[in-house]
Amino acid sequence: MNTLPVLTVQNLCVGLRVENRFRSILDKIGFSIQPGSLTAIIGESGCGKSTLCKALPDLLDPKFTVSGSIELSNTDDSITTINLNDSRALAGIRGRRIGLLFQEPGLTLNPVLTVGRQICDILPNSDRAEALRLLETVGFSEPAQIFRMYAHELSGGQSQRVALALALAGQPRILIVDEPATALDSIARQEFFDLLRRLKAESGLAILMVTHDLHELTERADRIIVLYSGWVVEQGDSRSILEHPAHPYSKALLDIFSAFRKGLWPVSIPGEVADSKTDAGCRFAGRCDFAQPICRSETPPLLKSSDHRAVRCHFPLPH
Amino acid sequence: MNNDTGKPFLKVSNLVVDYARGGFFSRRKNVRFVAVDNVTFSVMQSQTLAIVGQSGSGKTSLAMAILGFVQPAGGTIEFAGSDIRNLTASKSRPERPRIQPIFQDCGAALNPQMTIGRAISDGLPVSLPSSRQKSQVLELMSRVGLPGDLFQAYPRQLSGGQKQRVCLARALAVGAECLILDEPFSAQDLSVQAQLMLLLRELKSGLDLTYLLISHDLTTVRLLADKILVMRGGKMIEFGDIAEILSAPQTDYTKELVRQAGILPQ
Repeated sequence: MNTLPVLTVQNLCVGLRVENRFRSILDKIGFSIQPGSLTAIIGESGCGKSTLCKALPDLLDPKFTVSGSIELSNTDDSITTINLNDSRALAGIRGRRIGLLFQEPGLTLNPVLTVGRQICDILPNSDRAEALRLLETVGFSEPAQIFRMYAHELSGGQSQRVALALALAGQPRILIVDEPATALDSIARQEFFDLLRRLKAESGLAILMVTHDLHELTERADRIIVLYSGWVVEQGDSRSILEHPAHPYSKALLDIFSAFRKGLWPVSIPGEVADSKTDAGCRFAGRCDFAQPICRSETPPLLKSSDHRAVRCHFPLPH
Repeated sequence: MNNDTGKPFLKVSNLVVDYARGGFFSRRKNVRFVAVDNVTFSVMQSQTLAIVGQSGSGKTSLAMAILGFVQPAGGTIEFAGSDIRNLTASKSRPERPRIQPIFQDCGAALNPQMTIGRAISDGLPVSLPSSRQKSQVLELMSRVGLPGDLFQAYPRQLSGGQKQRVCLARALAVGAECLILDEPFSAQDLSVQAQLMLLLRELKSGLDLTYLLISHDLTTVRLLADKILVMRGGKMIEFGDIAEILSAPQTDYTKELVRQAGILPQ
């Protein structure tokens, strides 16, 4: 990997003060994203995936305390460093350098404005031709017709594509996508993922995506980040993680994924993420089949191995 | 268990469901939109029928008609040998608990002001002495895998998967024999889906439950289902044994569904 990462996240921590107790939601998250790559974030509900997606563009509620920094590479290869509690600087990049796409496309669209008007509002000089071109890019064969429509006239798949056109209107180099397809049926979902893949290949867009789509994960992700209870428990090249997960949690999760794909009954992970808040030791220890006494007393460090992988476990699984 | 020779438990014949199109001021208000168009199928007891199709294909309208939430425009619905389509409110009362819905948004199906224990015990028969109610509720809770200390908890304190379990326990409390599950997993992540599917399998074999499982996700439903009904634009385009249809889909649409699901050979 010789190219400069388009985004590097360093030491991202998100916390919340509840009843005078500080609760860590995300703990020292660090990763980088290459241009034209797809980075998938996986983990169960409550692991902090959506919080991560919202922390980067400063969309979290002010009651959360956020620290850490991001580095964005500019087109001339210089690097801009932004502190994650600098709301003004983050407002400058939100939507422009970093595009956003969320689960509910219906909530992204304004119900009282036409699609075209919403896109034109973002574009410089309200360029109608450019808006039509964007609609064509996201796969509408008759952009002029969609241009005149309102949000309620669109189907789920259509509104998600319009939301994507809105996200692309700011010409971002990075797109953060939080479970874009859960509201779509399987065919609309595949079309949407194909579209993202085309954009990634054609324009070098870097995508950071929270997903549970098995197909998408196994066939198309370049990197995988496995989150568990606010920790990165494992990250690395997707092929290598899919073939040899080193963390027991990644293994358990990926085993469920592959069981579903093969039409076999999965072995579920007992318990819930919420049971895993501990002050010392590994957060996964309570649900882990391989836990030893040390796992409950000492916090495992995130250890990097040679092949761009890192795992947070006292006893990583052998290859 | 899954023999087709016995009497069907749920039998739907030539069902048509339609809705008025457009609003009050619409010029097209007399035009009817046909959501379910002449659908015929039957399910045996303790079988699982998967109903799959795209959004807007009429899956939910079909379920609503069976549940009696919408009045069908035509056709018959027979449940356990009796016609349940045109029952009056008082006549349908003893029949209604036997078919229970489980919805996707389980959070919205629970009263936020009611504890879990109360929500489940409300479904128990009134004839049950109050002294035995709590033990009955705790038994149901353990049956669906909820820890007993959640008895006093409120829905907001539960995770999505736990709420779905509460809805299942409540349906069992009223004595459901047939569950209509409308996209029960799509709001959950995969590990919770796995837990819920294993739970459904366990309940089915333990209690002889019949499921109508509505979903657009073939990858997960094919594990539970014995039969599959593929819908498109309100019409039933394929119906039969799941293994047969998945291995040799007849219509292009089903072929596409199977392909998109990325199903791998075992």
